[in-house]
Amino acid sequence: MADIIKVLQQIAELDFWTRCPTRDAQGDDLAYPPFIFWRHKHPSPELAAFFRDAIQSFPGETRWELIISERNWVLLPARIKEHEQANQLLGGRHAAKELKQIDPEFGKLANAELSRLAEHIAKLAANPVAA
Amino acid sequence: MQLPPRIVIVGAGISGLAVAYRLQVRLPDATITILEQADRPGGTTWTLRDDGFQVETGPNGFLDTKPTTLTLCRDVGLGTQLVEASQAAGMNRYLFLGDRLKALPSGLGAFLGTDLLSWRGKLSLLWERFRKKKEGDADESIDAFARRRAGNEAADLFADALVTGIYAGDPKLLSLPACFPRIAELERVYGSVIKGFAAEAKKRRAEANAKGVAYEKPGKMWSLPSGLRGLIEAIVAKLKQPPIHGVHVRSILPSPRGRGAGGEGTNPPTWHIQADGRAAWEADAVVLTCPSYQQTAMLGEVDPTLAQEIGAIAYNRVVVAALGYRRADVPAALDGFGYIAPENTRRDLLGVQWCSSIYPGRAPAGCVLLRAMAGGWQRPEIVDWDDDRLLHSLRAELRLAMNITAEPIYHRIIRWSSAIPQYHVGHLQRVARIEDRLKAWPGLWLGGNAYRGVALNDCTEQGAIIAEQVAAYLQRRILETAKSANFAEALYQNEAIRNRIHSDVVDCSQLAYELQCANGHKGGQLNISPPEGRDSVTYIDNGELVLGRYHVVYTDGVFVYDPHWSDSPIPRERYEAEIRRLNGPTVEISFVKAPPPEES
Repeated sequence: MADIIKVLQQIAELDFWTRCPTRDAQGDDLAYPPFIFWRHKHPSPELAAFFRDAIQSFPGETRWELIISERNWVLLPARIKEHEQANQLLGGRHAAKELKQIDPEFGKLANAELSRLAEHIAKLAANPVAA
Repeated sequence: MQLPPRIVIVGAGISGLAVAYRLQVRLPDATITILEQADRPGGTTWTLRDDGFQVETGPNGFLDTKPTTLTLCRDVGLGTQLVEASQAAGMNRYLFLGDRLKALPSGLGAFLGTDLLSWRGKLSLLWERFRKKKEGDADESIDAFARRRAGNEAADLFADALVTGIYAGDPKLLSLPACFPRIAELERVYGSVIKGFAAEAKKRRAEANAKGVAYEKPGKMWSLPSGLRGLIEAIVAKLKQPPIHGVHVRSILPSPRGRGAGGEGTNPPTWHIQADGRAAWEADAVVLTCPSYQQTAMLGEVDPTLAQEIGAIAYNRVVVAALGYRRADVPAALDGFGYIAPENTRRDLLGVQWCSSIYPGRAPAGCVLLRAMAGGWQRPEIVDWDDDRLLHSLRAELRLAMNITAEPIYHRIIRWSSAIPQYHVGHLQRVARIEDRLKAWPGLWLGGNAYRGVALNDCTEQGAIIAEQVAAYLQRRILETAKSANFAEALYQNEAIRNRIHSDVVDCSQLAYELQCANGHKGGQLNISPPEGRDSVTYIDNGELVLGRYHVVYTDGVFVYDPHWSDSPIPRERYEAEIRRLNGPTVEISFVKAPPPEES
């Protein structure tokens, strides 16, 4: 199983990252949809375009969204943001929390697919033609 | 909810117990722990009871010139048991000069008639009221003061006797303003000590008249039927938590949970008290009332300069020998307090108190108890004499002074290798430097008899003052904590801040910096980094465990503001404890006052 943080790090050095659920900590709850947050040491438009393309080309059931700000980038299931907007919630964290409650299977699936997404990204990074 | 403050007092002598009792009254919820090296409380203040004799190992009583010890006795339920020293003890004191006892004059008539001074010496002393007062505030030895004010003859006799009786020190070394601040004050205010005493007595008489009460001259000495140990035991009985004995405190250090020298934005200071072995205590306030040489050892690591200043306070060595005789074997009338052999006479004895004449119940019926003091600053070697040599010498002295030839039927010898602190010239300046240095260490107090008076009254007075300061400090801290909580509530309601808190793309260090800016740049940030061998830390975000390369939060010093973790600020100690629980004790938590802009 590929670790998304390790994959991101291999593609371009990270200055900061967080991931939730932690997967390796006790009490981890995989019903909480994944929320990956990172910052590259040397971000670039090309790097952003690569990740966008990689995520869009992922064939899994979960649709993913990449939020790119000047400083930090966030990867999360697109449904989190949709749920946030539909319910006028304050940020993705609240939406993820609600989704965990109302649809725990969604979080479990998204977490399972995150590893496959990581593998997909890693493969593309190693061999761009594979896309 | 506030946790009850934790106070650790090191030393269960009268100073430490006075601090503890007063604090218990002021802060009933506080946890007060007293750590004592010895196997009993009281320090030098203790009473031995055996064979019907009751022997004070240290002070013999306390004066009513200051109210604090009398008040303390009354507050702990001993008001009805107070015993006043006998009238004779108050009136008759003697000097041992020229191989005989000579009465110290107790009034003008007796003074004019005494042969202790020549007429020239008497005139010189009486002329004191006309001498110019000292200009400037330079320190001055007791000897220099006495010569300047009263002439050489009076200085040789009375200054030495006074110093021997109280400090067992050298009047040429001891500082007058430090040892006898009231006398220095009388000269400063009235221009003359004699004029000052007269003016103050007149004032007290007028006050008594105005109140319609009989005028009572202050300066009576007091004790308890059970001796001063009765006071120690009564205080201990009133404490919720008795002293813990047999604890040798090794060091007092700021708690590893972090603080600098107490500057703004640092953690509210907590202290780690490490004893021998594994015993350790954490405290919000620490009061050291043990002897200053012990304080030096405890503080050497935290502040070597402070420790050095404290360590420069010298102590003398004193041996106390209690001797019980059959009354019939003592020819002297024993109609007084006892006698002093001025140190400049170089006798083996500093003086003898006639204990059974001062207070009742000090000796069995038909017996008397004498208490001889020896050693002091001038003859420290006497403390090392073995019992036989010491007793032999004492008996020779008593034969000479009081014509006692019989052997005592009872004796007890108590050696104090560090007995009375010596306030040498420059002492008050040293104390000022120590107090100045202490400002860098909020939550730490130094007490005991090494700083502002060696008498029991001074210890209880200082104990009450320190207790007030500690209580005020801890209450101020509680208020500051409450203010932090109010600030957080308002802050999290601010729309701009709220949007930043809930943004998906704002990271922890950005948020920490913005919260710090919103709080007027007060405080700083806690950087939480993985321990060695790991590449991430675990914390809580939105109720979920999060793994991150590091974590940064804002702290105002009292609370941690981590709005993704909790809607309300978290007491910093608790926050750090939780981080350690999640990551293990070796997780790195460091405080950064002002992060560089690129980090924010």
